[in-house]
Amino acid sequence: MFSLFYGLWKYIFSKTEFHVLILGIDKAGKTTLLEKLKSVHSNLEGLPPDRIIPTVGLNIGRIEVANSKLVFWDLGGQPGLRSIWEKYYEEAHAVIYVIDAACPSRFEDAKSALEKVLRHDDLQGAPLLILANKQDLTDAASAEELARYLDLKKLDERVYIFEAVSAYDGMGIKESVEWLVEVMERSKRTEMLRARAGVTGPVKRKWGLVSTWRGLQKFMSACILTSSEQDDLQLWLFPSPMVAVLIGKKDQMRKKKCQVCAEE
Amino acid sequence: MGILFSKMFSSVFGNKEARILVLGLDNAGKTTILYRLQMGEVVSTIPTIGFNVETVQYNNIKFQVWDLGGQTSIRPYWRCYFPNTQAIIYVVDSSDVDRLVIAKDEFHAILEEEELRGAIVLIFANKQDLPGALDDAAVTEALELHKIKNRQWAIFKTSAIKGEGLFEGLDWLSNTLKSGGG
Repeated sequence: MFSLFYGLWKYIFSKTEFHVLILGIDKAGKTTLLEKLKSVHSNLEGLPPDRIIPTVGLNIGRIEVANSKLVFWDLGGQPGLRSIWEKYYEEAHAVIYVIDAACPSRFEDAKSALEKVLRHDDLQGAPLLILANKQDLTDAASAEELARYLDLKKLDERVYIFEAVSAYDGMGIKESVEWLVEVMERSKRTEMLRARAGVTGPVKRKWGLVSTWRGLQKFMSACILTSSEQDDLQLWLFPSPMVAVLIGKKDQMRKKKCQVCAEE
Repeated sequence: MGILFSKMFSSVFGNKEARILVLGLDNAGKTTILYRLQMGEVVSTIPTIGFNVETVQYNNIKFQVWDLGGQTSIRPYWRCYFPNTQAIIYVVDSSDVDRLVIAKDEFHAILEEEELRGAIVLIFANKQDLPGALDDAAVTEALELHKIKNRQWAIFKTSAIKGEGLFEGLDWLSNTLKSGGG
């Protein structure tokens, strides 16, 4: 019974989750940024910058800002690994593009990689945060200089901003994240992704949903799937065949799982 | 009192323990990797029926490494070792292009497991010393690693025979486990 209420509580007060991609060419400081984000916004202590090695795969960071959960996907930026970026586009709410502002010789590479990102259909309408990173270094280009250099076309239909940050000492990071959350909350893309995930309308409308029968059904199946213990009371309270089937299925699954170990 | 001191000692010197499973198809090089990590030398192995388990001390983390046999008939028993696992090392024979599809299917079946939901994933694209071995980007593509979206992963090119790439992988593991993992 407890799990039932817990399910209800979770269902109503669940925070929206945003997926944010952190992209950029190698040595831009993506993972350092991720670790800084973790230490600034959560109690977790991020990895110190000198222990960070080039990423070959995916790093994940989860933080909570205001009323939203952010999940950061930090992908490796070496040329051979950039091909997997696009596989993550579809589910991303926004993109952070990190550029090493103290390394002008690689601006061209960064620019062409970014243009390729922006051309992709799967990222349509995704807010873009471009970070002129490594501001702790004296010869780093400012955000304006970088914007002038990149000279991005076709950005008008997309919400974007250039920010000067330092992932090393944390300058500008809090402001950038705040901007990102605000933009994502009211972006059309967020609505689109939410609709695709099967939740109708923004969070506030969920109250109305519960009152309808379909909503109740949906919510109950969610409860049963989240509850770790089967509760006979649930069956007694809600003798809907659908629920019975669900509980039966769960049992079957559990049995199947134990079978193999029992054989041994 | 003794317990107190030992606790203080371990908190100062940070000896963490982690349970790691080494999985992969048969003949991928799991046992060779295990003993390369543990003893630093290449041992001659026979196909593993059952498991080998060794402790490897690295970067202040005590890795308890379980190497499970990879033959088709004994793969169902992998799941008996799943509980309480912090990380999986998935070993792929990068030169065995024909069986990469099977390696991919087995890999994604493992990731579905509820008991491994919190485990981080390290992939070793092994046997890089052989001609025709695919590189890390190609193995990434073949294993469809991009489908992993809720946990951290990394891929390393390794050669267990030459001892290349293995400790870079362990570096990543220890860093990721220390910074909270998953």
